[in-house]
Amino acid sequence: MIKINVTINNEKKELEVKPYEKLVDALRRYGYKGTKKGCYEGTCGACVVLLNNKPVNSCLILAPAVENQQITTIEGIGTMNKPHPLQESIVEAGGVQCGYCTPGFIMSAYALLLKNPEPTEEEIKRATDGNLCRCTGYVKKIEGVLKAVEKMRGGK
Amino acid sequence: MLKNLKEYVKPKDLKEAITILSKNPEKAKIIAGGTSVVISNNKKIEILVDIKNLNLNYIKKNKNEIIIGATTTINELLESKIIQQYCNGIIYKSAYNIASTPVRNLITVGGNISQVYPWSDLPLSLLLVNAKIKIENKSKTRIIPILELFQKHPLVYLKNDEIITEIILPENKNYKGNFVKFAKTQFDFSLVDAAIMVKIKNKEFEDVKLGISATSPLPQILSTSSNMLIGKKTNDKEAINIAIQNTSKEAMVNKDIRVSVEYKREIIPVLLRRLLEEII
Repeated sequence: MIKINVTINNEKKELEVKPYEKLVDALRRYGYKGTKKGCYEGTCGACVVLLNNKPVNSCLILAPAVENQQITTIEGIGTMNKPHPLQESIVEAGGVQCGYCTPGFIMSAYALLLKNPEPTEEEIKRATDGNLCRCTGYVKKIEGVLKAVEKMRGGK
Repeated sequence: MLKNLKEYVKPKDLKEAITILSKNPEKAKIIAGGTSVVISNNKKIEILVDIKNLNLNYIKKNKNEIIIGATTTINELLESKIIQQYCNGIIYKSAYNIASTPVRNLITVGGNISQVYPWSDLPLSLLLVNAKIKIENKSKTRIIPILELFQKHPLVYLKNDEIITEIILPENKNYKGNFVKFAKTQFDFSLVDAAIMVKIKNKEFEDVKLGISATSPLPQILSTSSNMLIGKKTNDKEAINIAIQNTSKEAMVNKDIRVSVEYKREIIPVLLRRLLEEII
């Protein structure tokens, strides 16, 4: 086991990880279970987290690689009582069914809004192209993101 | 899973990285974006040398050349104005449909050309623009044409203690490039990639390079067909027809479980013709 220092959701943490442990496994072991484990090979996007504000597949990163870096997981952007506008709007739009792809999708959309708060529909599609959904499809999710953009524009 | 991995090292500089690699020829491997090594089951790997913090992350213009640091990611390439404008966007177009946004934030340019999968999109364009590759080891730095790197597979060509540090794009003044990925879906691995580089003067082809990839392990330039166009007028439909049809025969096309060889041979000239018609 090796010890690594990492900032997760703006909190400084010390994690003990195996050299070959994937970031998704380490995060889940430490309780960040919003990050889902899907294909485990970089295709489905269920495990997307932000590494220094950029979306990445946490199944394609070894945990020791993130030493001294900043990670943002779904837990870091909203809670049950105080959801992020993206979380709220995607639920309102009916963009959630089984929910497994939702955290990864929201992290990709969240990363987009960080650098581009007024995205077009095309830009949303492009930014979330790494998040596969097998239930509702994508139309309602994209509607949800557009709704969130509107809410956030209103300063909420 | 990399079951035998014992150490994950983050060297401070290139020298340290190369020293670790040369001291552990069998056990140590380079990791950059990690998209292929992380999901591998390579039992030989005991040490991974992370080269993401060696300041090899840049795209700059130097006189007439563009210099890309090896650990520049695919998304960083796409965001670069320099790359967007280079040779009619040939590099931009070939990077555009690589995997998905989160994976493009990981894949590095250096990794993409040293790892080269048959379906890799970027190596074909780099081959057509005649990119040069800077390789460093303990004792020397050398710059080779990418063609040399692709003579064998780069994984065979590169020694264990050698690191690709830069990819250099020559100016290619007055050349226009074009690229298309042909796959079942945008996200899927390509069935055929096609790209061209063309220099036209007085409505005449002064130079032509027609290339394809994803039909064999490494990208190919179809020289015979390309040469058939040199010196021909750009409105010489018959000459274009003959050269384009010849690509189907000239191309090396290996078996693919997804589609037949015949199908790929039909597709190759169609794609190349479209690319050509778009820019002349």
